[in-house]
Amino acid sequence: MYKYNALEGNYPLFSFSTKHGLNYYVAFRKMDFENPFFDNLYSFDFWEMNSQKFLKDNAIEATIIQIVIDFFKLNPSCLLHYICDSMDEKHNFRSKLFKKWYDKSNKEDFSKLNIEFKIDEIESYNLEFIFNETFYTFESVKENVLSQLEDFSNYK
Amino acid sequence: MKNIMEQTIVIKPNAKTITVLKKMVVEKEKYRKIVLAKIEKKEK
Repeated sequence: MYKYNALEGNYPLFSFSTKHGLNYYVAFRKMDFENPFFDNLYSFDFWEMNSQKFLKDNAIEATIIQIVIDFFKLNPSCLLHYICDSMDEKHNFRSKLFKKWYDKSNKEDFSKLNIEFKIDEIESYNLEFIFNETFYTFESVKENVLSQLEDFSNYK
Repeated sequence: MKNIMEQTIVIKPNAKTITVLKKMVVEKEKYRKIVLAKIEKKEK
């Protein structure tokens, strides 16, 4: 695992450098909706500064997973979401990493909701949510997410 | 009692939902650019 740094910003943001000279950023962007259910919703994302390809380096994955673990320790009531589309070449890596974090987490506390929007055989979007069941029930997250998407879809 | 679970739902989105999803991805990309611009500015 690499040592990571917290950066100044409007939202929680972290960075680390790898032994191959790659620079990664991990962001938790606070989302603002009118719906109070999503008051503690953060959009999770990570990327390499120069969009360089991922080199085989297990420490990258371990570091990002540790950042997510530490974020949940500081923000236990956060509802963490992640979106990716199939057109992003790193889509599978990101989704798998999110799942790995979930698998490594204490499953006595966390639930995960995955919504796959399948447009056709090639194009799809994945919207994934991880949350602590102390603060949210699975059904309430599912219901509110689907309802919010419906509301967004009805905006003119 | 907690009901810990993982579930995947597959939805066939309508045109408006696709627009919303695309917008979410665009916002994600936009935020990356904002972060990188701030870092580059700081490094100069």
